[in-house]
Amino acid sequence: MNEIPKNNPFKTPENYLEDFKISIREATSGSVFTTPRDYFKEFNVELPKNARQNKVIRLHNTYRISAIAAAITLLITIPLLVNNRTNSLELDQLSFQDLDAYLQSTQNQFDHFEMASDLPEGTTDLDFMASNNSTIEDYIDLQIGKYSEINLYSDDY
Amino acid sequence: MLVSAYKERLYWHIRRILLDHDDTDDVLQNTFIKCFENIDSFKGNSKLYSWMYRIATNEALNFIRQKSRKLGVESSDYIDQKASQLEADVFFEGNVIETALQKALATLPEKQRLVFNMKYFEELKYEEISEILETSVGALKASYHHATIKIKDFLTKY
Repeated sequence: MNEIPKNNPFKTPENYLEDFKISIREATSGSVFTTPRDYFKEFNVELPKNARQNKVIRLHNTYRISAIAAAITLLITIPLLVNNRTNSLELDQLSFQDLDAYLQSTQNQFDHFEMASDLPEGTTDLDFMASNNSTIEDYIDLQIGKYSEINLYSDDY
Repeated sequence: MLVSAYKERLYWHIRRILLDHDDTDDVLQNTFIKCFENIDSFKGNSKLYSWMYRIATNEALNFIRQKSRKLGVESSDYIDQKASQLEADVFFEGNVIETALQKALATLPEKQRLVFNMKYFEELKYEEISEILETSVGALKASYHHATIKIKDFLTKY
């Protein structure tokens, strides 16, 4: 009788501690903090005296004009640069197949004797030339300038 | 426009940190002035509201540090003192549980208190809090978890 009971007589609802967050939210549905009356209506920011009142971020006209001029310049010069590159690339990319096809298509217009006369001495041996294709292609590539000077439409035969 | 659009949200965020209305009013003013002065430095790599929220948070925490330094106490002790004065505050209408909750929050480390306020009361997503506090989502989740355990512990003992 004189002993103080150690058992805790108090119980909690089932899952009370696990659901603690939800319970608290329901109990505190309104904000506990309040403000003076009309605080937000009358709230005003007191800017420092040296601050500008109306701060407008504007793109300067001079910058805009310069940007437009630069864009126009690029639009004009880029196509010119591309064209020049294209021309030289076309010549560089001229493949042996293209050259061979061209020669084949125009072979009847060539004067074979003229072609032969352009070849260095010792290279008119057709067997030698036929058996060494890389040599022929290399030679043609080097001599392409000379072929361009041949009058392909010559009536002399 | 910024003031009218954001004053209430920023006010309540600061108020939950500082607890006191007059302190909050001072910090809210400073927050908007800072936003105005530094708007050029806003690079747009976060939402404008997150940027302003970050300024408000830093201003509130700096306010606590300055006040506690003047009083010669730790920041945590300063907030503890403020929480213990809530019942006498004319701008506080909490019941017993709500008062206890604010006292529990006052015992938390600064980061945990911030994260709990933003997640529980302001219902921000972890990604939004991460943008404001510049802390990873994982670290925020850990902070929130530790905060809830400590709060439950405090309230069960209260």
